[in-house]
Amino acid sequence: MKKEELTPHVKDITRALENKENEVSEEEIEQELIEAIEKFEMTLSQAKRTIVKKHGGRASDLRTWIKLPLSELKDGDTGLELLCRVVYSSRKQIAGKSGDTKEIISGILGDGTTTRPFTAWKTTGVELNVGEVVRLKNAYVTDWRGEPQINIGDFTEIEKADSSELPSYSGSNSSGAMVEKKISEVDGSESNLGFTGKVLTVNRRTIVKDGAEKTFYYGLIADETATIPFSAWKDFSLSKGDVIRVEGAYATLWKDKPQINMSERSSVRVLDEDMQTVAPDFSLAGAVDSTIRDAGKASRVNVKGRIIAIEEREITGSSGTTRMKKGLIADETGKIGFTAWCDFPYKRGDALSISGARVKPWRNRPQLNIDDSSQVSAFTGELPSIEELDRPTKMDIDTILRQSGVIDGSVDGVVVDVKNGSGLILRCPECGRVLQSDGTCSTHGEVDGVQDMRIKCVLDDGTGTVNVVMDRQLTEKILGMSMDEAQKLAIEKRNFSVIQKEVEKKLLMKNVTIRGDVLLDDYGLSCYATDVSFLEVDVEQEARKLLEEVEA
Amino acid sequence: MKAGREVAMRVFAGEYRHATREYNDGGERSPSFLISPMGAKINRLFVAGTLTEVSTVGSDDDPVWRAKIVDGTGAFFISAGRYQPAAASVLSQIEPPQFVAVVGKGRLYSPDDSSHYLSIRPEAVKVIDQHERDIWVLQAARGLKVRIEAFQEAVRMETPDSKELISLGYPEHIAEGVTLAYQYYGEPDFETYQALLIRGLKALLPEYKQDYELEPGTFEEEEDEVDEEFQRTFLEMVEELSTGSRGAEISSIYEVGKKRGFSREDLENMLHYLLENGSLYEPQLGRVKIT
Repeated sequence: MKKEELTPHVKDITRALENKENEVSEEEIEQELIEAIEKFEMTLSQAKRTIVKKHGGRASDLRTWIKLPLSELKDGDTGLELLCRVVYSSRKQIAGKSGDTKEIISGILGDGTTTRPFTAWKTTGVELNVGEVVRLKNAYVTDWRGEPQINIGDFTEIEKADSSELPSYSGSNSSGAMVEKKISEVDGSESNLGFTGKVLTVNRRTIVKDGAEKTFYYGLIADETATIPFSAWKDFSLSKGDVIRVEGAYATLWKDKPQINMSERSSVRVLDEDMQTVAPDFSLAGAVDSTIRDAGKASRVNVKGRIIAIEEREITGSSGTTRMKKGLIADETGKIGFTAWCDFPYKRGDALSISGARVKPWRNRPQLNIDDSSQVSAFTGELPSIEELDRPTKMDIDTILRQSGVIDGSVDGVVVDVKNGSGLILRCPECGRVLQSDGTCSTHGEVDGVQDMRIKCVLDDGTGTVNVVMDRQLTEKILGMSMDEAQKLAIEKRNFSVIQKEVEKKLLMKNVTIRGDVLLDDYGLSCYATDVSFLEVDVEQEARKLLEEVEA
Repeated sequence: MKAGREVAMRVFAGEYRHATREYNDGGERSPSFLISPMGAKINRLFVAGTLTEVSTVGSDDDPVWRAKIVDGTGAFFISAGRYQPAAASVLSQIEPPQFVAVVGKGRLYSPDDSSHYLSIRPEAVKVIDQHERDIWVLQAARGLKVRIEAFQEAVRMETPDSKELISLGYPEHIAEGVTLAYQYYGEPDFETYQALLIRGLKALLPEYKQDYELEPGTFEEEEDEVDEEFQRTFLEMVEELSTGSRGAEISSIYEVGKKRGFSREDLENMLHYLLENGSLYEPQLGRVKIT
């Protein structure tokens, strides 16, 4: 330590001893101070106290605080002046000695040399908000789990400082206080952590905090020993698959599990290399293993399935045009829609293991969202063939209602009602809506209607009902006549509704099987049928089977 | 989110005729249901069988078509007037016997505590073929089987509870129907309904068909075996009890008939029979008059 730096402390000791009988000269004090620090390897703080006491003074009379970087703090230091940033801060209740509770603030302070845990033993009027730079005067250090901990006591002053006062941190200067660990060794207590890992997933989320928008990043990182969640309040430009060297991170516990946090004082470098990691543990991101049928019960899932439909879409939104893929994936329990917002080079028939997919509702049905926070790989285990999976899921209507709909379902039932507006209809050439009875469009007024056919009916299977709409093609299939033929018949009979009568003849009270997505809305279940066929029932065989069950 | 339109229950006539309790949950727009002792919770029905009789009542200007449909376990009565134009139109053109299917709403008429008349107000009537009728019998049997099983579960519980039945996998309307039926009627006569179920299924199988014929014609003969003596006595009773032009009160016919040694069931059946064949008509609710 330079002599000039000691001068204020020499004066401080002298002042603290001012009214003592034996006057001690500044020169003597300076000599003693240098000896204590250099020969006896005391810290400045310890040395000052020792000298004041030796000459009959009191340490509490010392007034010149010792300015130290956090990396140089040692257990037992007192009278410190620390310029640091609040990295993390939270108020908590702790049990006092006599069973009462006491409020404290604890968290992490950092200054560019390192981060250190702190505890503020007074809380009234104390504000230590994350991100703020503060100057602590008369702070002291104790040992906590083998590490120096900063204490803010009753006599510690807290001054707000300008954030420009704190030089920005460069991680490579990180002091020896940084601990290097493998991810499996991280226990949540590390305040200055160094590690190397691979980014498995990364998500971005913007939140509004104290009226300001803040963006943070979170995801999963793994090394060869374990997977761990991370969060970062700074954009380190992390991408999925990056192998990164991180220094000056700190760890905390989140729901009793360790988590790594990267702050402005952390240095993150992307290494130009790959890394073998353990099998990623997506349960840390809240993902649960699920069948496709039950995916809707979780918010994040790991599923295995085969793509049975996929198409590329371009979506133009406020932030420009995005390319994405959309499709259906199935396992032996059912099908689910998915959207992929990341590189997704797969095709129909591919068997995939998708980890950490987010489950989001779409038209009341769960859908998988696959993005950079998910991991997709080829699945080599057992899965039914594409032909087997590409069949609709047969269900009764009550079951469909209970699960709020089904994708590509198949329902057997009786057509108990054919609605008006079935048969030949005219549509608006502009919007495609069916024209009103006076031949006008509710939006476009008088238009030349375009001929179309459809059927609107109610399917009832004894457990529930579905409103079914069939398009022109299916209507032709039911009627056994083309739209042209239907039109001729209507003209011949001078009545367009004759085709609805034909539909009733063919469909009403009939047992049919319909296929399509069955969705739930405010009017109950509805289905745009993709196929319809008349149900064939082997009455004798089924009656015999049922009779056996009854008589058993 | 709503379950949508009320489901059409497939119920045998032999069960429907005992659905003499009404249930409404009291909600502003809640539908009413008829509850059968075996737990069918009926707002709408889908039934099929042989239409054996059709007749008109009411005036020429405002005719009401009535029809009787038998399913081998009993008969359904339907009537369609000007508010059921689609069904009335079909009934006006039909020539019995025919296999028909009917979708409609269940109706209970109880002039007094002990008389219950169950009918169907049809929304749609259609002539079907035998195969389609057979499929209906199968579906009705399947539905009854599920309700018998659900009811057997329910009576094993300390207090039958619809939530518990739902958790066992039964559809909500069955779970609720069974719980309500237990409250209204207590434990059902399982054997009777089991027999009804077996009867329905056996009628579909050639090896039993002789014993359980559902065809039109044969069933009619059975129905026609009416005790003429009883018929005459009944009509005399109606005449006796008639006051002026208003006819006789049905409840007093039952009362007097009972004193003369006829069972309530026989009296009800005869009343239905005579109403159906046109010997009697109802000038007003709860009263009958000789035509």
